Amino acid sequence: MMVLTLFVILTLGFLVIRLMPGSPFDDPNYSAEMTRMLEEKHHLHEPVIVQYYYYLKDIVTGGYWGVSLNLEPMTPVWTVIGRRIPVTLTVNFLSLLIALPLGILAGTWAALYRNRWPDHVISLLTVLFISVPSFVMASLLQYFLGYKAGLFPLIYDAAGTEAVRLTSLVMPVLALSFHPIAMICRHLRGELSENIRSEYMITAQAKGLSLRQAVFRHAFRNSLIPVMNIIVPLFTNILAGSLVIERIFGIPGVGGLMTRSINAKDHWLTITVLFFYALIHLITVLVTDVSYGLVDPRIRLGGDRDD
Amino acid sequence: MKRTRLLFLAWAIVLGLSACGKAPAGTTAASEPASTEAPAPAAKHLRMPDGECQTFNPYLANTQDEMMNDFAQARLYRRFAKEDRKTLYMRPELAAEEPKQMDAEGKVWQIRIRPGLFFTDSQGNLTDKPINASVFEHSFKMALDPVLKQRAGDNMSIYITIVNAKEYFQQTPEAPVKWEDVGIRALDELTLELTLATPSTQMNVMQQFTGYGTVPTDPDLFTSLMANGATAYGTDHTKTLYCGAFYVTDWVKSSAITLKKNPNYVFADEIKITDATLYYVENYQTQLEMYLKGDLDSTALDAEIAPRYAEREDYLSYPARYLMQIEINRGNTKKPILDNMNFKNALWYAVDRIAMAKLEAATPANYIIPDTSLADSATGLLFRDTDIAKSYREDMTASYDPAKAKAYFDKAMEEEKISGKLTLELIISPATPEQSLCAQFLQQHLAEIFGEDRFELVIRENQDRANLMKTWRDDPNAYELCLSNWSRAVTDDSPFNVFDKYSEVYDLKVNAPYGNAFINETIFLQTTDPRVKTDQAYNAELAGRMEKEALENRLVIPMFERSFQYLVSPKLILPLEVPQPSMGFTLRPWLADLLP
Amino acid sequence: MIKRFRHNKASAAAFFLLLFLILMAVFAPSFTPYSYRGQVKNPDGEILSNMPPKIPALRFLGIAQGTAVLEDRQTAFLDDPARYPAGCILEIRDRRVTERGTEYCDVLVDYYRYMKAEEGTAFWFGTDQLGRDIWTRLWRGTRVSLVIALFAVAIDMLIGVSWGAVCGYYGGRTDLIGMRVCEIIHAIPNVILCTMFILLLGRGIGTMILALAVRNWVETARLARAQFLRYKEREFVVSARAMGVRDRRLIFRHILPNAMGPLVTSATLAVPGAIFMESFLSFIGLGIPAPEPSVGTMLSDAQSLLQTYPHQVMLPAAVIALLMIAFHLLSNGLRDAFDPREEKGEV
Repeated sequence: MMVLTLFVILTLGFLVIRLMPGSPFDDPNYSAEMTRMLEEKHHLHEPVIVQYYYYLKDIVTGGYWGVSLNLEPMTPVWTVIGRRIPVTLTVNFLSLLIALPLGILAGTWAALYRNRWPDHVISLLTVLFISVPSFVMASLLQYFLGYKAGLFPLIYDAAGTEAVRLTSLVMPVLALSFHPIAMICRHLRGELSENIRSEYMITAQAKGLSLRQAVFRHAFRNSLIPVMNIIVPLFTNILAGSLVIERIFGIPGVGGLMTRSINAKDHWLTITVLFFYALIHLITVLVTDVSYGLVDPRIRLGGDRDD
Repeated sequence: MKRTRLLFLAWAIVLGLSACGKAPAGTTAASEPASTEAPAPAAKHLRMPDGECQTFNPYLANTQDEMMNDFAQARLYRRFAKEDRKTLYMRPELAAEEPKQMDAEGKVWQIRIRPGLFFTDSQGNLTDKPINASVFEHSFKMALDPVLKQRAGDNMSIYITIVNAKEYFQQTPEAPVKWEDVGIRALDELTLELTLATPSTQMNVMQQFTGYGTVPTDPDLFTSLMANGATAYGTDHTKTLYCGAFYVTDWVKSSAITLKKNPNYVFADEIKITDATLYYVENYQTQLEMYLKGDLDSTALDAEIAPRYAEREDYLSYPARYLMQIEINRGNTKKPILDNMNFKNALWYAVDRIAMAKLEAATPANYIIPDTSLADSATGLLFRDTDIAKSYREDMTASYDPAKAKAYFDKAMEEEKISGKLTLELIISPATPEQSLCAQFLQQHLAEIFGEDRFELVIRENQDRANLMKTWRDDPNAYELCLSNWSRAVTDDSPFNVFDKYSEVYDLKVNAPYGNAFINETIFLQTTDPRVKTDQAYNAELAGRMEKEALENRLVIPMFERSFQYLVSPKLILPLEVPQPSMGFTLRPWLADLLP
Repeated sequence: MIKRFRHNKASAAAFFLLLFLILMAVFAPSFTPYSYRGQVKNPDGEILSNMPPKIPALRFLGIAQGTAVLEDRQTAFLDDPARYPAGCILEIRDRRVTERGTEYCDVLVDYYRYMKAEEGTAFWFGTDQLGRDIWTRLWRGTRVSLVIALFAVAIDMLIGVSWGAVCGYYGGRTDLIGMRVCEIIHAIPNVILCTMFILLLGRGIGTMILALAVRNWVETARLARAQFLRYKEREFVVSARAMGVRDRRLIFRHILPNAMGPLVTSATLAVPGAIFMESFLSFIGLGIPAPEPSVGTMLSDAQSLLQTYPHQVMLPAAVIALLMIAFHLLSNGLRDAFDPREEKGEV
C-alpha cells in the first residue's frame, strides 16, 4: 500500500513538474544554443513519457535519482536533501517535543478549571496561536526577541560554535511550536472535559478518589488516545510550517529547498523533495499506529495492575 | 502513574538527545586544526552577506557565486585598487606580467605565468599540485568540454575570440573538433599561447581572463571526480582546491561559507583580513537587522527601505550598470500595433521615469548606454559626457508627457483600427520585487493615461521568460511586452558592446526581434574592422550612432538605471573610497581592512 | 437548535464579529475615495509611498496622526526646504555627533506634509509602496480571501459529501476503491498537493480555489461516509427502503439531512483553514497575482517590512486573526448546538 502510494506520488510529481512550461536551463545568461545543448544532454527534449521511462529505469535499476541541475549543480539529489535532513528533523522534533508537554499541560489545566479564569486565559492564547499565521509569529519573534531584545541570533548561524548554533534554533523552534501547542491544548481540553463527566469518573470519585486523582488515573489516559490521533496531522503541519520558518530564519534545511527548487526549476530535486515529504508523512502515520499500543490499554495485551 | 512518569522520562531523553545529537552538516568547523601560519597579531573577522552560493566549480558558477570566487580563487589578471583608493587598475595575479603580442596584427598572444605556484587545500595546507601553463591549458579544456557543457563554455569568447574555442564547445559527434585545433597552448611550463580569430588589444586579452570561468583547477582532482558526463568538482569545499586570497574551511549549503586567509596566496601580505564568513541571508530586512545589531559588517538595502537610510554616514550607493526597460516584440503578428511607430511613441512619452526611479531608488533613464560606460578609459571620460551622446539626448522632463502620449496612442489605435480596448501582456520574471513593483506601477499608470476603457496591461510572471524570448524566431507571437534588466557584463565598460543584444548577429545572450539594419551592420563591424576594438574614440562614436538609431526607432523603452545601496560599517575599510564607474557589483571586501 | 446556538455567548459574539467583517469586506471598498489599485500622488506628481496611518477622528487619542520618526538625519539638512517642506518638522530628538564630526538627530515629522500630500489627505491605514490605500485594499483583500475560502469549502463539500455518500451508502467494492483513492490523496501532504496544483495550472483566483479544495474533500468524504454508515442501518432508512424509495431519494432526502450536523461544523472549521492556507501559499510565492489583493498576499508582501513599516504587517495580520477567531468560535458554537451532549454537564 505504502509503495503504491509513493509510486503514485512520484508519477504525479513527475508529470506535474515536466508538464510545467519551461526548462531548468532558461537562464538569461545562456545562449539559445547552450540551452538546447543542455536540454539534449539531460534528455529534456524528448516526449514526457519517454523521459518518465528513463527516470523510472534509472531509479529501479541503478538507484539513480538524478542530480540537482541549478541549486547545487551536479550534486546527486539525495546528497542535497540528505545534508539538510538532520537540521530539519531536529527543528521539527524539538518543536513537537516542546509542544507535546506544554499542550498537554495547558489542556489538562484548562479542563480541570473549565469555565473558570485559567480556562479562559488558555482559550484566548490558544485562539491567538491558531489565528496568527506562523510566518507573522516568526517575524515578530525575530524582531522583538532577536533584534530589539538581542536575546538570540537573528538567523541560524551555521558558522558559529555548537552553543551558538543551539541558541539560534530557539526562535525557529518556538515559532513552530505555537500552533501545535494550541492544537493539542484545544483537543485535550475537549476530550478531557468530556471524560471527566463520564460514568466511570463518577464511579472513580465515588470510590473515594479526589477529582484530580481520578483525572490523572483514568480520564487522562483515555483522553491521550485522541491526542495521539492528531499527532500525525500536527507533525505534517510542523513540516509544512518549516517551509516558511526555515526561510525566515535561514535554516539550511529541506523546507527552504522546496520553494527554491521550484523557482529554479531544478526538476529532479523538486520531485525528490516532494517524494521525501510524502515518505516522512507515511512514516509518521505508521509510527502513530504503532504507538497507540503504548497509550491505549485496550490495544495493549495483558492488562495492567495500575488501572 | 508509573507509565506517565516513564513517558515523561522518555520525552526528556529524546529532547536531550535531539538537542545534543544534532549535527547539521559540517561539524568540523568548530574543531578546525591549528593552522601552520605564524600567529597573527589579531584576528580580523569579516562577516558579509552573500547570495546563495551554488557551486565552487568555477566553470559552472553563476553570478551568485561571484563573491566566493573573488575570495577564494585567483585569475591570471584581476582589477585591484590603487594605493590612493580612488581607481582600479589591471594587475597580473597568477600571470607574471601583461600578455605579450607575438605578431603584427594582434592575433597571437603569450602569457607568462608566475613560477612556483601551488594550490592550497581546504585545510590550509600547500599541496604538491602546481599551477602552471599546462594546468591552465587543461582548465580551459575542461571549461570548454563538449560533454560537460558547463556555463563557462558559453562565456569563453566575450572579449576575445579564441580560434575554434566555440566550435570545440559546440561540436557534435557528426562534426568533431580536435582540442589540438583550439587556439590555447602551453608552450613550456610557464608560457601559455593564445591564437585569436580576430585581432585584439592587450586590455581585452587581460579582460577575458578576469572572469571566474578562467580560474585554474587541478587536472587530477577535476578528472578524478568526473563520471557520467558530469564532475563533482566544487560540489563541496573539500572537493575544491584554492589559489586565491582565502581558502574555505567549511561550507554549509544555503547558509554560510567560512574562509581563512590563504598564506600561500600570491599577494598574501596585502590581505589584511584573517577570517571571513559569508552568510546567505534571503531577506533584506533580516540582513539590515543583523547589520544594525552588529552581526554583519555590511548589508545591501532594498529599494523600498533605502531612502530611510540615505543620510547615514555608512550609506553607500553604487551604480548597478543595468537599465530597466520595456522590450517590445514588434514582430508579433497578432498584435501589429506593437510595430506601430505612434504606439511606441505613446509608450515612450507615457512612462513617468522620474516617479518610477524614485519608487525604485534609481536614476531615471531615457537612454540605453549605462551612465558608467567609459568613452576613454585612460582619461576616465564617461560616454554620457561625450559630445555625440549629448547631441541627441532628450531632456528628462520632456520625455514624460501624458498629453502627447495619449495623442500618439489615439492615433495608433485609429491607424490599427482598434475601436475597443487594447489588452497587452507584460511578462516579468518571478521573484524579482523590483520588476513586480515596476510592472504594477505601469499597469495602473498606463491605464490612467490611455484611458481605462481603452488600454489594459496584464502582468504575467513567467518562469519561462528567457526562453520565450529565445524562441521568437519559431513563434513570433511568443510574447508581447517584456520587462528586462539585462545588461552587458558589469565589468565591461565599452559602450559599443551594449548594442550586441540589439542586433541579429549576436547569439550569445538573449535575442529579441529588433532587426534594425543599421545596428546589425554596425555591430558586424567588430568582426571586420579592428579599429572597433583598438580605437576607443571610434568605438564610442559608433556606439553613439547606434544609440541614436535605437532611441529614434524606440527599439526599447528605457525607464531607469538601477543602483545598489549598501550600509557599510565604518570599521570596514573598503579598497575603494568612493564607488567608481566600472566597479561592477562587488565591494571587493576581500581586499578590505577591518579596524578593531 | 438555533436556540442553543443563540445561548452560547461566545458564538453569538463570533457571529456578529463575522457579520461585521463581511459587511466591511462587501461595502468598505466602495465607500472610500480611493480604489484598490489607484496610485495616489501629491500635486507634484510624486507617489505617496508608504504613508503612515492617519485617522483624524482619533486625534484625541493621539494615535494614527500620520507622523513618523525619521532616524539618523543630518542636522545640517534640517533647514533645507527641498528635503523638509515647511512645517513638516514637529520635533527634533536626540542630537548627537559622530566620530567623524557629523551631527545627527532623529526627526519627528508630519509625514503627510513631509511628502507634500494635498491638505486634507488622510489614509486611515496608510499606503503601500505604490501609494495605494491600505484601508481599501485590506477590505477588498478580505473579500477576495473570503470568496476564495468559501468557494473552496463549497467545492470541497460538494465533492466530499457525494463521494462519502456513495462510498458509505453502497459499501462493498465501491467503498473499498473509493476509500483507497482517498487514502492515497490523503498520504500527500496538503502543501505539496496545493503547490503541484498551482504549478500546473498557473497562479490565479480560480486555481487557488481548486488547489485549496483538492485535498480537503478527502476529509469531508471520510466524515460523510462515517455518517452514512451510521444512518444507513437505522430503522427509518430501512423502512423507507422497504417501501421502495429510490437510492437517490434515500440519500438526499432521508440520510443527508440527518447527517448534516457534523458536516456543517467541519465546513465552518474548513473556512479559516482555507484562509490560512491561502496566506501560507502567498508567502511561498504561489498567491493570487497582482494587482488583486488578498489578505494573504498583503501579509506576505509586507512581511519583510516589519521593522520599517510595521502597520503594513500588523493590520492584515489583525484581520486574518479576527477572521480565524470568528470562524473557530462559530464552529464551536455550531458543534455544541448540533450535538447537545457537550452541554449537559453544564448550567
